[in-house]
Amino acid sequence: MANIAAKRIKREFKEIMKSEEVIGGSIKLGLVNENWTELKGEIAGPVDTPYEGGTFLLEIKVPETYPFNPPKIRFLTKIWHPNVSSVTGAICLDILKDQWAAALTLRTVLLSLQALLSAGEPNDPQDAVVAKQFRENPRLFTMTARHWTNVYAGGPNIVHECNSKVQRMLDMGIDEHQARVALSSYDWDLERATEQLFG
Amino acid sequence: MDRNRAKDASEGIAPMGITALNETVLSNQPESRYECPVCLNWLRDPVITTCGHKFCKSCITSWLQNSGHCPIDNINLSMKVDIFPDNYTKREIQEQRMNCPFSAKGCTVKVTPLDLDAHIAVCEYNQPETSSQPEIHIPCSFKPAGCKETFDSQDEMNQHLNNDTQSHMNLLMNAYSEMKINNDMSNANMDTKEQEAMALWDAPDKDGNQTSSPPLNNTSALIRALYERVVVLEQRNREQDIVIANISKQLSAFAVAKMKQNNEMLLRYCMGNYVWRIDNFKTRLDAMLKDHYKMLYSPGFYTSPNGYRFCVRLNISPQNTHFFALHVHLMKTENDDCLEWPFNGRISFVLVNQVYPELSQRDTMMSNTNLKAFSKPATEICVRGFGYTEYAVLGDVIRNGFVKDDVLIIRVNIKCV
Repeated sequence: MANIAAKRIKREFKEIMKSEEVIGGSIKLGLVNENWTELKGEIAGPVDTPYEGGTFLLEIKVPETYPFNPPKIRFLTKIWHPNVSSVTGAICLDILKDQWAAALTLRTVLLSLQALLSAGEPNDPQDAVVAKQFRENPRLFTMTARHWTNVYAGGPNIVHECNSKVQRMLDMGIDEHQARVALSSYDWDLERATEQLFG
Repeated sequence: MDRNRAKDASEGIAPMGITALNETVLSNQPESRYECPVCLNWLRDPVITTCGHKFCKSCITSWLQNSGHCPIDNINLSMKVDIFPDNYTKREIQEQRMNCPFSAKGCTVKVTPLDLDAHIAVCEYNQPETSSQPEIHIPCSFKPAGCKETFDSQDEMNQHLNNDTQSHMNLLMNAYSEMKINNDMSNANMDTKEQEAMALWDAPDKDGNQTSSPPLNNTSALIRALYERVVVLEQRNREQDIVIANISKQLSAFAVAKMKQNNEMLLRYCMGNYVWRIDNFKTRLDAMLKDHYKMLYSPGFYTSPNGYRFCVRLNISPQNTHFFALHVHLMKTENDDCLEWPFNGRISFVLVNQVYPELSQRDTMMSNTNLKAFSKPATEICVRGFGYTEYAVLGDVIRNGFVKDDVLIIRVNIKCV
């Protein structure tokens, strides 16, 4: 079994390196160890989304039973998205769970994840807080996602409003990421975010 | 049997990494019509599904153990009724012949794609180049010390060991002194802190728990790790200090705000009973004596939470500089429009004698509605006051127990009637 997994990953690796997405730079794949059981993926944030310009790192673990079971994938880069946990990076995507098919490859999975960034699915959320904001306050959601992309994924769009509020909490002695999570979760209401952290 | 060999072969290739990958596994890339979508390899014992997709028999069997759908189009598949052997494809693949990837080195073998992996494993050209030397040389066991002799058999070496003891001893001696010099030099390179850290690390050895001291490399690595840890901890410490400083700043700001709020509360809820403590009285008095227009005003206090607001003025009487003058002044409030004007009520002063309470000076007056001092104030503090221009004799106040610890206390009670 393990033999099939390693062999197939090798072939996929070769195939993906020749693919136009890799050549065009929109996805990347790299090895983490020599047994081909762990890889590192990278997807570019799709254009016309808050993730545009960001680079998102993915942890890819290939189970011994691959391709009969899906690879285990999570975001290493922190991201604000209704189907990705803002805490652990865990992904809620059907093809990584019950809808996995052996004919899917790492390339198709990475492309699906890119598509997920373009079209979040708040009715099947991984992160309830993000999903709620996505549904009820799309403007704030876009701003928050863009801000996270700027801070964690190297996106070029600086959101000054967010930065200044995070700075305000930093001045109170709060950890930067904690401050950002609290502010993002409370729709950038400085008072409620502070209350939550100190209460 | 054939299958087992194929398996062994690929296991042999895997650890060689990407080079092996490029040379062998990937040169064996099947055309897509001969490729199994599950293992991405040449179809082995191909089967075809009712939905028209081809797989290796073992691959689709494994897949359908956990799923009831085709891996490609998700159509329901049953192992029993939807899977058929595809002997046409099987024959096509078996008719293919491929060159051995080591043909460049001289291998002329041509095999079917399915047998290629098995062949690579046993191909005589698939050998590391160095291992092709047939001669065997046993090096002298003193080789690490510098002996260059080699032998064809173990016996010859034993003989050498017996005969050349003296030269081996010399080699050992040289090696030892070289090591000692290196060791001393590396010790000399260490700064005092490093030596100190090393001494600390050496301590457990003296207990006899460890028979040999760890090699120098490990020690330096440990020291480096410890230093890194120290730097991290110092950094964290500094961060914590900043956090603490921020928090204490906030706390003192809160304390000041709280005090201010308390004072305001006292003034608003005193119900017209105000105790005015004038601290640093001596200094203030001196200032008033120097400049007779200097006056002391108390903070504004309320007769009730939403009532009239008064302050008290103490100064040296302009008519007779031996006397203090004491007045009350109405002050503007946000509720002035709701109050009745002019103010009507009783005003009492007590100049508290802090040593002989029975000597405290008490005076009570009633407001006079005709006076400007009791009409609605037009300025923040009404310019007209009401009280005594000659309230108390200066010398009396200073000497006879009214001032204690440099504090003078005047109690005021204002009640509406």
